[in-house]
Amino acid sequence: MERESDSGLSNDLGEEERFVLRVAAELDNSLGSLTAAERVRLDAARRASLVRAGLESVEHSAAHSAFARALDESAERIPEDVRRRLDAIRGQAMARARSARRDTEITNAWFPWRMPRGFAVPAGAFASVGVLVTALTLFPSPQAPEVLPAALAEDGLLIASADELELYQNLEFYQWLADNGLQN
Amino acid sequence: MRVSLHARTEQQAECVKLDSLNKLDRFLADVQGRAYRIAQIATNHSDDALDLVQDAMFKLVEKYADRDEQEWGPLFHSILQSRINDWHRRGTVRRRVMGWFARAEDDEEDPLERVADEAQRSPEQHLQMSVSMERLQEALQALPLRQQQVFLLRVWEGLDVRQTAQAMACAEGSVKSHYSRAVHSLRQQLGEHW
Repeated sequence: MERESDSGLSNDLGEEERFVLRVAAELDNSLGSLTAAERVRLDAARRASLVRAGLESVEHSAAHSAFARALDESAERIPEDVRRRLDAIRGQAMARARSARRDTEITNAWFPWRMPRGFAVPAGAFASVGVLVTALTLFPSPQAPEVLPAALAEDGLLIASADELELYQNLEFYQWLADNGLQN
Repeated sequence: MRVSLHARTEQQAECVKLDSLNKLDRFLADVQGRAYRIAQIATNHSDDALDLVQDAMFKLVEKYADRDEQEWGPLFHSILQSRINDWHRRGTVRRRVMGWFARAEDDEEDPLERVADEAQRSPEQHLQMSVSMERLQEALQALPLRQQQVFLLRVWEGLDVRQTAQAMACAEGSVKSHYSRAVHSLRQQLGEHW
């Protein structure tokens, strides 16, 4: 740090500024009294901090780029039969996606009042309600010894089944499909 | 083509990173001596001061290496100040617990343990550590910690009021009042020598 030396202090400086500059110069000089051991330790700490965060990251990024290159090359060396199978799988997946999209469009056209998918209650919430209902059924509180009403228990079991959730959501659609199928 | 573009981008990123690391190394090399002396004055303990500086370096490099170069100074001192405060808090707790045990055992601390280890200092270094510096260090250590640290950051590190406030995690008004009180106290204490 460059500071004005004591001898070069301007006469314009106030008492306080002179004092402060003298303190700073004295502190600067005190750095010369650091022992060799202290200097070595400080240098080691600096290098260790850089190695720990910096150079390790560089090594990591070098490894990462090597991985990326290897993966790119391996992707270009896929055998022809594997590539054909992958194409077929992709074709099947796209066909299913198109079919599902067509079903949704038909359903929305015929049942515009149907609950949008984004409003569907998450499966976790259903699972929580199921657990709650089960707990209440298995461990009824002493103050309320009577069992849960049958209808409520039945609803609980219904909503607890995440696998069948889609079926219940699409009941109207399946009804419509059955009616149309019968007509055809 | 895709691979070579990818490799070139990676190489450029590595060059930028290495350049940034070189700058960070230069910054740390420039600040390490002063940081050590600041921590040493605050703790009056060489080994602990070195540990604090090392912690501050690690934290700066790990968390803030990608920050703008101009921000490193205030950030580094902010970390160092936090470490110094933690050191004092731990010391307070330790003294409280040890004081309780000492009363229980009616045992006194060996006064020699308080004496700083000067064995590693050469005669030249003793000379360099002038009488006036020794008095200055005593006067600085007699200041309340926050006054001492504000004074050192402003006068020695050259941080402005805003940067000092950031490093000390306090208001700019507090920095001004701490600084003013520190200068007043130091001038009173050192007046006859300076």
